Amino acid sequence: MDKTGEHLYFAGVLAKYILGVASDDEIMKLKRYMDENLSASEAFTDLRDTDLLSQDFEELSDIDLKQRWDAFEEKEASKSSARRRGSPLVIWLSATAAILIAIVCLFLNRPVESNTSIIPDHQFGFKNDVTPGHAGATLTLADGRVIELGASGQQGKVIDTGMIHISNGSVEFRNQANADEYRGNRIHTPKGGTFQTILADGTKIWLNANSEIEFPMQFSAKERRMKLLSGEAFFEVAKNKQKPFIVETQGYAVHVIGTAFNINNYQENIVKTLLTEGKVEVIGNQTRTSLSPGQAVINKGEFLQTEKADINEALSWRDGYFYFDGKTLPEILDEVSRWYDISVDYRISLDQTRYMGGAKRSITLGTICKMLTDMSEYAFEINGKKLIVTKNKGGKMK
Amino acid sequence: MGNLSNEEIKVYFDLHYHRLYLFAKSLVNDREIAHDLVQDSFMVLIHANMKTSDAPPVIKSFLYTTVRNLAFKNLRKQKSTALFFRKEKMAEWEDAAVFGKLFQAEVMAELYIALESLPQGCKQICKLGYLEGFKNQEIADMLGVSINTVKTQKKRALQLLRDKISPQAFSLLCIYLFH
Repeated sequence: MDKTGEHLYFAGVLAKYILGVASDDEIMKLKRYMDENLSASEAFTDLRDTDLLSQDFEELSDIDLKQRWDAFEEKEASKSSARRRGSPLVIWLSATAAILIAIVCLFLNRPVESNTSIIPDHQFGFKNDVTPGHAGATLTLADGRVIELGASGQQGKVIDTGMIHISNGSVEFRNQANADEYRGNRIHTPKGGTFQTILADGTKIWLNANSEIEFPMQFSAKERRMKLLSGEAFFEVAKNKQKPFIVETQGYAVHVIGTAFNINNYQENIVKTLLTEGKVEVIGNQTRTSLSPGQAVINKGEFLQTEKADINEALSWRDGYFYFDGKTLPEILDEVSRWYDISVDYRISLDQTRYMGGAKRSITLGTICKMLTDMSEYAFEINGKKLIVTKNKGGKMK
Repeated sequence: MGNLSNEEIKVYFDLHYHRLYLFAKSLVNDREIAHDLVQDSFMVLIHANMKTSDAPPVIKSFLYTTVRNLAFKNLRKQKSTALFFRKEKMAEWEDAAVFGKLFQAEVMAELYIALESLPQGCKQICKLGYLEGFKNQEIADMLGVSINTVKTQKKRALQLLRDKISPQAFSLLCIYLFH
């Protein structure tokens, strides 16, 4: 059952519980589920607000399904005839796509290793602008073959007699058989790159820019073991009670049954694991600790320190956003430089002011620079693949 | 076994409209937009190539996920800029919050459907008891009936609702009824 299906199943059990028709076994499983899912327990607490319930019930009874269905059928009928006519919208989209392909090809012809590119700037007054990162990674198989993922011409590619499927932004491994011998594949993303990997057990791994993972072509019979070698990855581990999933990092090993969490190892020797759903056990050299959703663990020397964490930090990059809440400018620029594959030239030292905000990762660097200049006491300029930070003579605009 | 027929779509429409509506409304906070989103999600279902052989839970999950995606598209359209500095968090970033809303919508819809399926007297008493939290004596006083009537109706509800669930250790359930 996928995650959504699981949530829906337990919602049904909770409804039964409220009406007094849930079985003992169901109630036991429900309690465990509520322990592991913050948002479900919170939803249950909100549900007890009886005004909310009767309000919604009133509204639901006002819905005339027959009327809604008739309206739906009408709309569906008119839409399908429009499609047959070949509506103008489709034509417009095709034209745009053709132009985009041309631009991408131009860049591919240059011997460029970076995943981001310099483009002209017409709106901000910078020397040039820089394109954002996008899907791209390198897969090195156990037998030594190197495959560029995300390159044009790779989409829809199937290799190794169906065991590996490459699509636009993700690669899926389908060999579910167990193996005693460990044969490791590696996937690494360049600066400005991101990619999704789906393992044979259904586990999904999102890789952030400049990151590397290693995992076996086939898991062993007892466990699913892999490594985060560097960078940042978000894991959505498929549930399998018989085979624990273990991620080895520089600092410690993360043991899970089935759950979702983020591991950040951008700074050497500092590994931060943030749990968004489920439960994990973190096993270090000297100590071990377990995490509940909303908690993170960082290795401090020989010890593991647990703290409350903002899960948006983990979820936003995976979903294509920058999340700057509570971050200082140096931290923001760190992430920006990784995504746009640029270097930062600090011509002035930055203070420790913390900001709130975010942005889509699909915007160009120029837009980010304009935003940062407007919001802070500093001025941000682009020159080639360099971001220059100076004092903002105009002062802060509110 | 082929694609979903019109009749099958209608079955899912009748079965899931309420829960999807509640979910959509919790995301966009607007009744009419919520109705539109639910309607659009069924449009997507029609063209999604789902088969008759796909299990009902799969279709339900699909519809919920579609409503979520359409709601976010709708919310994003309302923000004119691609980036922003803001104080409150946008719902779509909090995956956990979205699942909370999904969970809540599903529980409410299940309660609604279960209670609506009961005959009138039974329904009223159960709503007062299970939804509004009144004790049996309070319900009896409010409706001007005996406390035995209240207990009988609740028992009847249990009987009727039981037909919808899988057989389990049923005798133990009665404990929860008579608080």
